This record gives sequence, structure tokens and C-alpha cells, in this order.
Amino acid sequence: MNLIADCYEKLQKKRGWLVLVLLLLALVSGWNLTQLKVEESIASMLPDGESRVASDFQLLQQAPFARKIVIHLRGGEEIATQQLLAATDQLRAALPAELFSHPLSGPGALQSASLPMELGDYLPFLADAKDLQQMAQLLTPQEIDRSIGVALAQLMQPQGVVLKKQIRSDPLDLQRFAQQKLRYINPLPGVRLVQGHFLSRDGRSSLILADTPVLITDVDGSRRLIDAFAVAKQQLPAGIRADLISGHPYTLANAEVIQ
Amino acid sequence: MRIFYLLPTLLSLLLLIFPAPGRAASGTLQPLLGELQTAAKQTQTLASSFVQEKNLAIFSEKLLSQGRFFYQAPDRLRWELLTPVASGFVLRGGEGERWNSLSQERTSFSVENDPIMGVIAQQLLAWARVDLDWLQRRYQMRLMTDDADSLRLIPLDQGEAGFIDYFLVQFAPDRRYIAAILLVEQGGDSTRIRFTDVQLNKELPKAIFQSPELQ
Repeated sequence: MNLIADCYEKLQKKRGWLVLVLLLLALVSGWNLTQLKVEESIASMLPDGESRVASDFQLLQQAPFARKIVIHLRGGEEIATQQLLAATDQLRAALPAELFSHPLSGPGALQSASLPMELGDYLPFLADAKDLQQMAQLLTPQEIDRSIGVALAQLMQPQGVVLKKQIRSDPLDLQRFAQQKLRYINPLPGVRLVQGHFLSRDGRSSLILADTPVLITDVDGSRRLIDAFAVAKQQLPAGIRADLISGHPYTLANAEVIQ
Repeated sequence: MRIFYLLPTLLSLLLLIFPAPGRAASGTLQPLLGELQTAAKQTQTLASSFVQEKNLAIFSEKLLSQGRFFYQAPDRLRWELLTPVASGFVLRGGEGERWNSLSQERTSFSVENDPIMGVIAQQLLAWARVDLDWLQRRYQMRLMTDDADSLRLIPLDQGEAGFIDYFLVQFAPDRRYIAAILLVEQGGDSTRIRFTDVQLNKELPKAIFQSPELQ
């Protein structure tokens, strides 16, 4: 109490300074207030503390699929496959990059990636006894002659310019044993590839896959994401509909019900 | 101080004597490109033999081969080596087959699913059609000063520039077809192809654009 009384006694004679300091504090606080970013997160609606629901939510946000977005396009019977593919490219281009990153409508980037070539470097780890047996059969003088002859023929074709490095590093084409290991991998069952696009078996549905920086608990971000998608899909021709599949529409719907 | 007054005058004179390369190139390139495009529009089919010389650092000798090339507007091709190993490919629109007599392999491909064949098909078709829009997007073109029938093309595409340093394309005197191509790769390897017995607008049998039976 003495401290407050002492301060009062000392400062009552310096009211001008006191008011000035208070004004400065008010200004700094006001400026800070303008810098505040209001976030609406559905996580704040969860019970505080170390609750099981809160920890599950934390884990859920770290899951890779939580930032993935799948856009499903469906064409009517009157829509030709070519039109559906063109509309898919059009929608992909219309998605804003700050909300939809790395949009893919096909495995194009994956195909041109160096994965199949680099996979050959891991052949010692990937080859099994059966592979080794088959490789031994390729190491006879006759088979080596044949392989080198085939490589020479490839070098002399126009594609030789691109294949030259690969032929030099693996003239017997042993990396095919490593590539064969990928044969049974189908990350998207039921999907076929047409002109570099993911297309359903009936040819009437296509897919766009994208990442997003928006957390699935971020209500405001989810609203911006869904609004941006609604704007982008307005450009689609009649007869083609698009649906966004991710956790964000559910976050938004839940928040709206609670509010 | 006088030198400062003289500098602008000197610079103006230099600019007049050595005009900007871009302006000079476009000024002299356009008539040649125009002639090529006009000739290409009149070409429905093209049949030719060729001799190919490859200088590769991994071989001490030149690799010589002979082959045939066929084109039918708008999108059919056959590129075939007859010696030393019969091999090649045919293209019909976006689909094709390639073959190799040594491995006795014949495989189908589509330009969509085989990026390498896609690029090669695009290149050959662009040249056969003289698709100037495509070529000008992909290459910086320079008319060779010592040979008015030759163009030097430097790839603008980063991916292609990683493999190819430049192309030197020599046209026939009547500008109706390509007489020779020199392809210089990054690292110095090169390929020279000379086209001979070129026949334009000759009727080509349908079987030309089918892959052959392997023996």
C-alpha cells in the first residue's frame, strides 16, 4: 500500500507527464489492436486442457490427408470425354494457388519425374532371389552382345539423345527389375489414365488432387477455400458438375451450426 | 569535355552501322520462313532416304546408318533405320509403334504416355509441317550469314536445352524440304542427317505407316 501511496504523492504533481504516458500506452495498445488477426478455429470450441478430444484433434491436423483436397468432376451423358478433360484443366487453372497448391489432374509430373531411373540405384536392396536368377541369365556373352546391340540401335534412333545417359549407366537395362516392383502399385484403384488425366472406368468422372495450407480446424480459412472453389467452378460448362471433398466443408458446417 | 558531347553521336553511328541483332534477324528471317511455310502448305506427302552420322564421345569411330523417312499430312510419320540394325517407329496421330529387329520387339506407344516419343513426334511433325508458331516458341532462330539456306536454332525450353546445344538446319535451294540437319548436343556429341532422294506429294501406300513384320 505504501508503494501506491508513494507513487500517488510523487505523480500527483506531474499530471501532465502521467497523461502523456497514458496516452502513449493507449496509442501503442490501439496500434497492437489493429495488428491482431482474429482466427476462428473450431479447436477453441473443444474442452480446455489435456482432454482426449483435444489430443485427437491435434493428431488429426497432422495427418497427411487433412491438407488434401479431392475435386470430383462429373459429366452428363451428353458430355464427351474430351470436353470433360478440357473442363478439368480449366477448373484446375482457375483454382487460386494460395488456397489450392500443387493441383494435379493426372500423373503427368510423376511420369516425367526421375523416379523410374533413380529406382535402379536401389536395385541391390530391391532384387530378390528370383530377380538374381534372371539377371544371371542375362550375363552370358550372347545375352550381353544382344543387350549392347539393342542399346546401340536405341542410341541411333532420335530418342538416343535422351536415352544416352541411361544407356551408359545401365547398358544391360537391369533397372527394369526395380521398375517391375512398381507394377502392382495402383494408388487410385478404378482410375484409368486418359491423355494424362485421371478418369473413371465409365469415362464420365475425372479428378483433381490438391494440397491446401488451410487447417481443417480453421473456420475462416475453410470459408475462403469453399468460396474460392464456388467461384472457380462457375466457369464450368453446362452439364459438368464439380464437388469438393475434404474436411473443410464439415468444419464450416459444424461452426455455423454451433454459432 | 568534348568527348562527352561526341559520345552520343558516336553511339548513334555505331547503332546505325550494327543494328540490333533481333531486328536484323527478323528482317532477314521472315522471307525465308514465309517461303518455307508456303512450301509446307503444298506438301501432302514426303518420302526420303537419309544417311546419319553420329559422333559420340563413347565411341572412337563415327556411327553410320542409313534409313528412310515418310510423312503424310497432317500427322503420320515413319522414321526407320535400315542399317546397321533395322529399327524405327511409325506414328499415326497420337498413337504409334516402334520396333527393333535385334531384340525382336515391337511395342505400341502413345505420345501422351511416352514423353520421349511425344517430344520426338512433336519435333518431326513441326519440321515436316513447318509449324512456325511452335518453332518460334521453342527456339531462338538465326539465319547463318555464310549460308542463306541454313538456320541455327537454339532451344529456349530449359528441358530441351539441357540436352541440345543447337540445331543447324539446311534447306534445299528451292526451300521445299530440309536437305540436312546437324544436331549438336551439350557436351559436344553430334548427329548429322543428310536427306537424299526426296520425293514430294507422291502417293504413299497405307502400309507405310504400319510397323513391319519382324524377321
